[in-house]
Amino acid sequence: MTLLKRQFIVNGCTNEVEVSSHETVLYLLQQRLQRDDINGGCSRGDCGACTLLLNGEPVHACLVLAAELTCADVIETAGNMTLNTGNDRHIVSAYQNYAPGVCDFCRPGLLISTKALLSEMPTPTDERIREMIAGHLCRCTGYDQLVEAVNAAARAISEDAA
Amino acid sequence: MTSTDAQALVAGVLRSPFAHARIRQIDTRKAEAIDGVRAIVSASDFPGGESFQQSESGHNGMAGLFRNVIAHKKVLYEGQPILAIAAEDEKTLQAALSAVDIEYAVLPHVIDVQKSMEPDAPLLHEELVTQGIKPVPSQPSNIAARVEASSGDVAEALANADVVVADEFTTEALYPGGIALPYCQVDLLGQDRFNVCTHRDVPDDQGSLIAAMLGMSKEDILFATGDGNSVSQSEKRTRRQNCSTAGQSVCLEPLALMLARKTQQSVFLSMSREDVLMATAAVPGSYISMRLGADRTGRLAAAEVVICMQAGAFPGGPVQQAVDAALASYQFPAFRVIAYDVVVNRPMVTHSQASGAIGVNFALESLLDELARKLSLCPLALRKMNAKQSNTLHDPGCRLAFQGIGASIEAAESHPHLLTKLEENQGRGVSSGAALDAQGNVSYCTHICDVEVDNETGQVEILRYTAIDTDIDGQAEDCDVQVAVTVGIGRALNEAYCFDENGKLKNASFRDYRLPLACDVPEITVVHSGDSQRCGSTSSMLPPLAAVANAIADATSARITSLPMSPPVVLAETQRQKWKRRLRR
Repeated sequence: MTLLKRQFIVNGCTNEVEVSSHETVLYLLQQRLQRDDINGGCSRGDCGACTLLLNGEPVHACLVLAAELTCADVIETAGNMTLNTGNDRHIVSAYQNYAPGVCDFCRPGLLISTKALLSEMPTPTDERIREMIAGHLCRCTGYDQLVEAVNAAARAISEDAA
Repeated sequence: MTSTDAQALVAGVLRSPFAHARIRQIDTRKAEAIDGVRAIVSASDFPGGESFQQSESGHNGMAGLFRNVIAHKKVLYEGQPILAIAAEDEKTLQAALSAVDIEYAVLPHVIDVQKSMEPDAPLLHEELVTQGIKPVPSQPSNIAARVEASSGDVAEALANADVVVADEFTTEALYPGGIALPYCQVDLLGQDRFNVCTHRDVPDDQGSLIAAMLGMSKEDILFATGDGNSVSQSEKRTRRQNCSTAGQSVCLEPLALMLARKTQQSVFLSMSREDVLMATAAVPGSYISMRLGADRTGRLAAAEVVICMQAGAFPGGPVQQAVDAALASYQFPAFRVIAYDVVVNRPMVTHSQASGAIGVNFALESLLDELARKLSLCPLALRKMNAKQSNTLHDPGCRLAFQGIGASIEAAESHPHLLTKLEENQGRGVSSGAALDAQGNVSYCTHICDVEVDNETGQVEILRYTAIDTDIDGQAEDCDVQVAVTVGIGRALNEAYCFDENGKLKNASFRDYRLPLACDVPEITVVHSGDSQRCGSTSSMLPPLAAVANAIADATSARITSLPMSPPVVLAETQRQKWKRRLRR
């Protein structure tokens, strides 16, 4: 089997690994790089648990091939957000305070999607928030807590900016 | 889910590709010869399983539980484990699983509960004789048990009733679990002593059962819950509920333990999403026939209920739970409830989260709505009039009498939700529920649901939802009710396991088995009725199904009696109603 050498950045650190052509970014991060801040629940892009930022855009890591990565690619996982810097701290704190019901299996992907949403739309409507959350399956909260958490994060970020 | 221990062997399970088949021969020689394969286990490796294997019928649960963990001579549903392999890496494991040769004799299968009760249905267990019937039947069948509760002369009460409403209801089997994938890691603590870390809390009785399967002392197996910090309080409660009854959740631990025992090495075993949907315990589906009789004022006189419940492949469905809960919230001077525990070629079922009461609550609350419609009564007033009062004695022949539903109905009557005006194609439904949770607490609730039905597509949109629940303060508990309602709405509108003509699950992914999304549900208003002696949210699982059905009936006059109420079902029924109205002109 041909292995391809790939270089990319994860949470600010450069990684250089050999990947096989069928390997997904989820497999690479979880199994090869032993990262515990990303979870896979379906391998088909259905559940949203493996959402990460690839060059600032939210993607399902289970649907992106590792072989597609280039040295210019920057990956951000939820582990980076828990460092509590910048707006990330408001998002992490909002989930802690307003969505305590959400489990750690789904939370990393939700944090990432929230970050992506709020960077694109600082004051989203409830409808837009529900559209964003619709990419994530959740059996722990019934979704209302998640909407509250995103709204709280948006408020905190805007107050901070003011 | 991956192991955090790079030294652990990777394990996998070979599952049945058939719904019903005899295993003629298993040849593992090619798999064993693959470099890196460390152990293969099948049913014959379990010393404690011998006693269970003696019983072909699998009655009383123990044999069924063992055979659900690993098939012996016969497979009874698609996805049933046949053997497990531990290998040094994932690639070797997959090669080994592919290299196992199994010769099957495929048998006719039966998925539908009514077909399974027919005299000529394919028999799942050749020695299964119906319990609860006297004299004991001389012939085996797929009916594992018959349970009955009755009081008074039902036939006479129904004959004398001013109004009788009757219908047949069908509910499909459902996925009860969450998003995280099950896993089990076994590590060695010493010579033949193991630490087992899993996705769930393993209760003591299940620990004993697992040890018995392996022929080990329970003291030699230490169970720890994995990711103790990674689950929410609500999920921890759900886990406790899931694991507290009947041991249905035992699936991975015995296999991982046996592999670790054989290899004397750490083993990590997990399930894929497809495996989870295909082979883990489901909420049972059922067929229910129900008749209610009442006088002109709406006072209930009698109820006659027949419940045919899918037990899955092994006897032991929650039929007693269904019988106990069927009529427990309302006062019936005469009643008769009969329930059948019926085996079918599906995975075994769960007893948790009032799973036995879901179907019968849907039927009862739908018929109460029809009764109110016939008598031109307010559906809440009809329910309140018939609710069991606090001084009501337990009904003779019935183990439960839920005596607190009236408070939640009263709270619903005064809730501002009822003042919201409805537009064209919109309807409002109410429904109540009561249930026992795993801790033995009874919880009560009444729900109000507004829907809009698209006349052209049958699509149902939930506009507003209010859950008047028992008294709990704090966000986490509100969240529990919201979870229960969201799950209930999903079950009402979308969720169902679908099988093809070969008994294979057609929707073994979350793309095809559609859980409710954030955009499918509105903000769910939770109100506490103020009765502080009761707690829990198990009851909130029950009303959404009938609340949605009653709201659809209010919007369209179409009474839907089979779940899920997906757009094609709603469209067909609304068009049938339109056609009937046209004929009457």
